[in-house]
Amino acid sequence: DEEEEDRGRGRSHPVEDEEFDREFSKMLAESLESRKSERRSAFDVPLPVMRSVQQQQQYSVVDMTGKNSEEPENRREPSFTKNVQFRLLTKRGNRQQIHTVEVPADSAIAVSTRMKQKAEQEE
Amino acid sequence: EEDEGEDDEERELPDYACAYCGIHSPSSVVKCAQCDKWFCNSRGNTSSSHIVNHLVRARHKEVCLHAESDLGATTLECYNCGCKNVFLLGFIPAKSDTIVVILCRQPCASATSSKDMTWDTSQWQPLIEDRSFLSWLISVPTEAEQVKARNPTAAQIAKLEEIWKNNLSATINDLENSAPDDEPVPVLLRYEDAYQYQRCFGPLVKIEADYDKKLKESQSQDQLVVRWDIGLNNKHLASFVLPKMDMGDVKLAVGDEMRLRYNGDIRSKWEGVGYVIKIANNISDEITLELRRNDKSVPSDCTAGFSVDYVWKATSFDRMQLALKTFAINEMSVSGYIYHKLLGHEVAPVVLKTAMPKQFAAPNLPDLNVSQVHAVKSVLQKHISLIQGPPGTGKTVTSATIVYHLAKMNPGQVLVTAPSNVAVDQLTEKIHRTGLKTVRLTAKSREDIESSVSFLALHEQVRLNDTNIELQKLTQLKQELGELSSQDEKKYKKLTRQAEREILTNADVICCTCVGSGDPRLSKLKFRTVLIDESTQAAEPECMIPLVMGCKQAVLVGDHKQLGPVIMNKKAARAGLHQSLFERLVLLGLAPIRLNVQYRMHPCLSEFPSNMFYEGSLQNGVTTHERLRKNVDFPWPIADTPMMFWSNLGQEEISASGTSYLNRTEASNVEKLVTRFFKAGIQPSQIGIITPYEGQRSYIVSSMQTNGSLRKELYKEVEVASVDAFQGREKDYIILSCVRSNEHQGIGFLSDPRRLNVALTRAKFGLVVIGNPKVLSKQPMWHHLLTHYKEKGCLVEGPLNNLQVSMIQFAKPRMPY
Ligand SMILES: [Zn+2]
Ligand SMILES: [Zn+2]
Ligand SMILES: [Zn+2]
Repeated sequence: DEEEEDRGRGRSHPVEDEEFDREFSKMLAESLESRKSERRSAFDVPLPVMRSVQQQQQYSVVDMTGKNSEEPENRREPSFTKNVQFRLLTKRGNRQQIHTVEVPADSAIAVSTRMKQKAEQEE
Repeated sequence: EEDEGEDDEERELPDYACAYCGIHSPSSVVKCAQCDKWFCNSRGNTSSSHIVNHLVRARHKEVCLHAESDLGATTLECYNCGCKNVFLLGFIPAKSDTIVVILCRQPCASATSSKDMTWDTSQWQPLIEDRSFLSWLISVPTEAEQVKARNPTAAQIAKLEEIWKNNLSATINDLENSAPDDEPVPVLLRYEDAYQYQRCFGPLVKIEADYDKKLKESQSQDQLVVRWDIGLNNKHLASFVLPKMDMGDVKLAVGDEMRLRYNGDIRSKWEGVGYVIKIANNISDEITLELRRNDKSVPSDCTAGFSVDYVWKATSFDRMQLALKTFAINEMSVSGYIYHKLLGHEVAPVVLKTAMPKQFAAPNLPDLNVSQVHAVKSVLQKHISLIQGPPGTGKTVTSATIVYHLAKMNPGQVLVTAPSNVAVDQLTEKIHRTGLKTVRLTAKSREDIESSVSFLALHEQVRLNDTNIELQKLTQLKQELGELSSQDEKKYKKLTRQAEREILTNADVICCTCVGSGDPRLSKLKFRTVLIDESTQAAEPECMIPLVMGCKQAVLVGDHKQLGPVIMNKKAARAGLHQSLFERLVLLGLAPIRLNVQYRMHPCLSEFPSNMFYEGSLQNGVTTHERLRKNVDFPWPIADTPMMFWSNLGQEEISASGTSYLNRTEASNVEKLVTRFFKAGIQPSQIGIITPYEGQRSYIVSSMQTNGSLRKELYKEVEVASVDAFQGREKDYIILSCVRSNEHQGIGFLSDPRRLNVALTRAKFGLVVIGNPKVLSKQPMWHHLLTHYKEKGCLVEGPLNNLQVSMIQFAKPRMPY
């Protein structure tokens, strides 16, 4: 409960705006609608060959509140949650690129990855 | 001086500073690819981040990251197809690695992934979550940055976006120089005269009409697939699914008119108009249109290549405007007393000298309780009166009894109206039972719709009238041939009109909707006595239609603590069109007579609504004993107290249509509850599921049928509907699924006390509320409700077969009512 109070601090209370809500939802709906008839085969790009250090590391926990964080301070909000390193695959022209991104440890993807890894270890 | 200082600071901001708030750290801002302006990913004062605010309000869809951000100057796009629409973008992980890739939801992520694939599309999640971009993609600015930044309100942001539509180079500093809002003039409590009244309401009705037209006409849909049938009356029936219709903005109603067009290649182009005779329901999502004419060129051999438009009708709005005008210019439209009362003028109270009936109960209607007798008595003695009927207090019986006495006492016909056809039918049925000659007038478009009082409908009474042989012959001929010669048609019309007039003038009571009372067939008649049921659900100009036909004695029945009229246009609603005449008269000091004995709910269910909405005045006309079912095995936390609040912490999400919400955890638990009720011997028709969101409604309907462990048909028969659809009705058991569960957006229209009142007062034998106490308790009224359930020991959590008393801590209530 405390935590919630904290997050709200510095802002006024969340303002209800049903009309904005509706507009937002409409954007989603129209976007989906516009691509309903698009057909495409299932996405299946092989993983980039980059299986070096990072691969073994599995997932690593980076404590963002630690003083030895290399990132400049203003890059991220001070957060008490730990972050998990993921890699993001993008494309520039036809070239694949890999970026490291730090996903909050309590996000759905981090949680499910952790559970998967746990399950694999137990096997 | 201070202003100048601020200006200096403005000038120092880099060109990539957020156009709303000025925040400019490269990892927190993105550029809108369509207008080249930059926005940050902080929420500031609003429930959505600045970039999301901009994209939605400007209807832009593509963004580009800053060159100095972790990913460099990248435009966010689908790895597979290059789609750049961020509303479609999300990401998926690889199955065996901590690597993710951005994919669009449609079609790339919706193609089913086979087992041996590298990527797991089933894990797709949107880049925009909880109305802001994922923080690992675009950082949220630090608190320190946010404190330093400008902090525009949602209204200021909306205004700025509005200005950009004409002048892209405007900045937030130009806001003060812009023109004032074009808000319409709000309604008043009192009016000098009926001209001022008309000048006030006329523009509001027009705004609402224009908006309604725009909304409905935007509902056209192409590429329809049509299924053809022939109706009993030999007319063509076209059935189709309209996905757009469930988007929440527009509710299609039976009797609405639509135009169906064929523009395929197999046959020549065709179009025809028809009335909606069936709308989507639990059994099928199809809409059925009955074509108006017997048209031989109907392409009933084709199924594809159709499109449909909504045919908007100005009728109801025109009739409101006409009523306002009549009120203003026609001195005979209402009596002097009613005129002054409606305008809020001081008038000395007058007691009508009426001989009171010896017996207050009307023939074939139940006996009245003390508060009902009191209501009947005082209505008969007054020119204008308000009756407030809280849930289950016998409003319809009281109204019917009043109509009975008024018809017996006064000359001429009594006009009985209500805003909805359902309410009119219910009341008509009761009035008919008293033996009064009752006519139900329906719109032409609804003549073929079955109802419990079809036999009282004017057109039916004309048809069954066997005194006019000539008319009977022509009617038969028309039915056999489909049409008449022009001379016969003329005669037929004339004879019909004659028969109608005869039936109407011989009636004791004429029943129709408020708008229906503007029907030309009634225009020659005067109604000195008018009763409007459910009047708190009608906009004020709507109530004026039946009143301006010569009213001398008016009875308005309703409950201003339940849902009010539906006004689509926000400006018109804000200006006061959502306030009913009943409510304004209450504000003017006309005290409503309250019916105060409720016969519906188990006493434990009426306690909270009585205290919260009726100053504790609601008494129970039913006992605990009468509302307990001993043989129903159901895990109520406290035996003999059939109520519970089941804490569910599952997240809300946007529904498939994209315009509504759903909550899977709650839906799955609704199914478990229903199954449990079935196993305890409860029939589907005894259960009602209420949920405020259309997305959840349709999700519950389908997920119950797929996941329920019992026969599919059983679940199909359970009614799942909105709070609004349940107003005026009851079920033995009610399950309320609240849906909303989020950090920032609040609880939407659950915060309306009138909606909560309606939702809580539908159940006779038991009520289960499913919701997230942490989120709901932020709102003061819900905080009260949760505290009530907690104190009773009825706030629980855990699986249904092992419910535990919940110790969850509530949030501090923050939002105002
Ligand atoms: Zn833009
Ligand atoms: Zn900003
Ligand atoms: Zn794609």
